[in-house]
Amino acid sequence: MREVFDALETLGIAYFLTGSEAASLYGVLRQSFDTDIVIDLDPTDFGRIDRGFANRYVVKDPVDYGDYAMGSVISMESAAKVDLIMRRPGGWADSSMSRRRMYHHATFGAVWVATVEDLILAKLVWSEGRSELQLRDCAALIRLNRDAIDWAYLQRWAASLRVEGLLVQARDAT
Amino acid sequence: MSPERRSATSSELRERGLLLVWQQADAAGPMPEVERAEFILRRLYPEMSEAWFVDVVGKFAARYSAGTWQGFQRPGQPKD
Repeated sequence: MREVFDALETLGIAYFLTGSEAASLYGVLRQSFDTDIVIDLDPTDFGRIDRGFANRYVVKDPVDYGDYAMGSVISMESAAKVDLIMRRPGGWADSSMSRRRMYHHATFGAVWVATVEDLILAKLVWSEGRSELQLRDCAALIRLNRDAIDWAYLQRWAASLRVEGLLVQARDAT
Repeated sequence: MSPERRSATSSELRERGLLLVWQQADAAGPMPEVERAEFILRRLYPEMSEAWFVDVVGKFAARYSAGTWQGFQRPGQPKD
């Protein structure tokens, strides 16, 4: 898995880890087999991923979901899947990329990781009307990181992303 | 628990789960490599769409036919 981060760095593509692997760093452990990485890449340039990974990974072309596109790379050796999320540039996408933090992951080594605020926002957006599990993760992330959270940032972007109601729900559930 | 310890635990959970999936594949009996790959992928990623599996398994099948992929490596098995 380290090679995925190395390949992104070699390709000059900025990234950060999000999803369950990032949540584990902030205290919420959940078994998941895929790894979610946000990358700073226009989906029309996904051919760069294809060229960079084709030797050891099967590359699944991105699907456009409106606010973001997502492609995947699947290891030909281990079957590990990495989802590569490409958010529409501007606004929160730029903000979350600029705020990413370097962490030492026990398996991946030194990697860029979403801040806890941006991880909560991502889960709130993802949970909207779909996933009770994501909302429970948000409540746990808030409970475990309450003192470290930049609430002004979280509330500002929750309003912008139209998930402020879910944020209140997650906060009040703690 | 430190962030590093938590990430290690997360990786351990993942490895244990992968072992269980391989045990299920073994219990299902012998099967061609591409079929085994589909068996494993469907259990690891049940949330993915049917179209996703068709596309991805098709790519593994093409690699197998071209001789550029011989199957997933069993967990714990040393690299060739």
